Amino acid sequence: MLKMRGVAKSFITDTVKTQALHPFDLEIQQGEFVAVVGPSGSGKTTFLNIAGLLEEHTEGQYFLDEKETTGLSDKFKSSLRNQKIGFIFQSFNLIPELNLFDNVEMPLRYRDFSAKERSERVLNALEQVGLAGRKSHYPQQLSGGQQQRVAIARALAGSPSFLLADEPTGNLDSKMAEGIMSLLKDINKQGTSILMVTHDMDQAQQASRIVEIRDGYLNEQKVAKTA
Amino acid sequence: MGNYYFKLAWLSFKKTPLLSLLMVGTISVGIAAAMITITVGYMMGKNPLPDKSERVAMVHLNSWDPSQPISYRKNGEPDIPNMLTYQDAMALLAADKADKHVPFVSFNTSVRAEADDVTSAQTHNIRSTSRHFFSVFGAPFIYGSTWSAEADQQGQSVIVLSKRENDRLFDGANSVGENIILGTQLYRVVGVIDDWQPTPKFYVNAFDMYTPTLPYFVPLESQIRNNFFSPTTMGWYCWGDDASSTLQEVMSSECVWIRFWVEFESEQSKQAYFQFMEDYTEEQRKVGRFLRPEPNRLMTVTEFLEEEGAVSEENKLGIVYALAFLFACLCNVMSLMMTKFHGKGGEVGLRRAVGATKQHIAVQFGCESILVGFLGGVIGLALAQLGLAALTDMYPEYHANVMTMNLTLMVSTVALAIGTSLLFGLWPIYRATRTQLSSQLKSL
Repeated sequence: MLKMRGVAKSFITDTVKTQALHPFDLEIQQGEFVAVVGPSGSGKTTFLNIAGLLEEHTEGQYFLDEKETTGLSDKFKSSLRNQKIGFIFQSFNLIPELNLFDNVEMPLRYRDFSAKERSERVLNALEQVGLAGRKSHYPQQLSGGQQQRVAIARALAGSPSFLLADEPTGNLDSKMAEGIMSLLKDINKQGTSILMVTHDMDQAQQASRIVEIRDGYLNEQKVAKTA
Repeated sequence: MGNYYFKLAWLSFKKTPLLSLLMVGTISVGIAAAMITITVGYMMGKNPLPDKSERVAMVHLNSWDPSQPISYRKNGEPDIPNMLTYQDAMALLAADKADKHVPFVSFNTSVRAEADDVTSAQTHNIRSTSRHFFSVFGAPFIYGSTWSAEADQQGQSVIVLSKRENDRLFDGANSVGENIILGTQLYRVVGVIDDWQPTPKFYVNAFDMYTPTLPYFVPLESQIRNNFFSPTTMGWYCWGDDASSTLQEVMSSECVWIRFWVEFESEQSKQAYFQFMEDYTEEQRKVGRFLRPEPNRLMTVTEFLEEEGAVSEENKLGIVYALAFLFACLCNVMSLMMTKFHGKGGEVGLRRAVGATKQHIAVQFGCESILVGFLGGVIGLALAQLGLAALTDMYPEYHANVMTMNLTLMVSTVALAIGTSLLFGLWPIYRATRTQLSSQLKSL
């Protein structure tokens, strides 16, 4: 589903070249739950941005559902992001002036869905995260955990191939974080692949695989994990 | 999708009301200032007879003093009179070479309805002309019609009055057949024209082009027969030693005092008429008249407006200044838009992440610019109306039509606001579409 071969990222400023990510190979199959761990500044977010087609890698090849993404036009990449990837952010990134329905509907607006189909998908996604009854509420009327559920509904509404979660529980207390992790595991069990960046080793242990990034190098972690 | 973008634009407007109102206010002030000056310039310079302005022409015959020209044109060349002597006007009428002839002058006298007391008489300027005045210049009748050809020839005491005067003298009733006393002469009403104000009032000179139309019209021949002569208001120019103390003396002199317009069915007829004017001039030269070298002129409405300078240089300069002010306002709006769109970087990043293309973002912010422009245009239109109303009060010598927007100008005001808002929004929109995706996703 997701295949990276020799992918690397470097930044060149004047005469200085900074290697953010050294060349690595990575393959994630359909239905996997992969946690990406590592200290701050190690390159986790850069990795996630490349995986999410938000940033261009500078070396190597990246295949998404067998489709080579290197050098694709902005329009094509936008379409791939819309159809294949669901984003979940640490700070939820909900638009405060839109109600929950409109927030969840947002990605669907950039696809050729009828109003009826959009509505069905939004309600299903909100149902999935347990917030169907609050579709007319606004983000600020919800708790942090509920807001993250809305963000997850937004990511799910377009039926993506996989979810990219960047510290999805980073802004939540432990009880809410537990609820979100439980929800993500349920979603994963239903067949959606998840690639999650986290600092929390306890949460990483709940994934089916752990990948560690340290100083720009990506390695499968050797630590034992509990299922 | 359009509805969705305008809904987003409205939500964005409400999200930052102060900034949004500042943008709308800036546009509206700039648009109002521009449209006030443009309205005055446009209404002063527009073609008042669009369907036949090239077939209606004013006769200028060079019957002036051979020793010196009547005046000089803007380019320094000697000018010729734009009015005719009585004998030339009558000769052209008698020749009957155009489809319609409209000679006219004006005089002052007291006016009252026959039934009214003599103390109620008011002094008015009366237009003495031919029966074709109304059809050539487009004056619409609400009661009756113009007088007959016989009335023109015989100088019958018949009169057409304006709706306003009909309202004053006859309470707005159909007054055809009623009598009006001009000076001491009884005139019979044959028609009432509706409110009518060609803008500019092209058939007179620039000085009078924006003044109200006269309220009474009588046959030119009736003025002569009834000996209406008001030296202070008639306006004539004389040369030589001819006496001009009475109407009869003016009529037989070389004084020019009659404006003379003609209408043709076709352009070809106009050319033939000019040839007739040349032939007439040649004949007159044989008897010692028309000795100046400058050629005659047969000026169409548009040529005459241009010659008279219907729109003054000050007006044109005013429009330039107002547009410069609008430009400055729009530069400020552009700066405010940059601020606003920059503040929405997080939302742009999010929308791009979930699948919006750069075009989607451009359309979304384009709709926001259009909304700001539309609101600015509507408020600007209202401000312009207030400004024009104030100008109307300040300059009563100009007819209110000059300070009044027609539908075209009103629509243009809003369209100009939307167009310029969008144009000056292009750079902020372009910058918004270039938002670095990954850097903005933590800033929503």
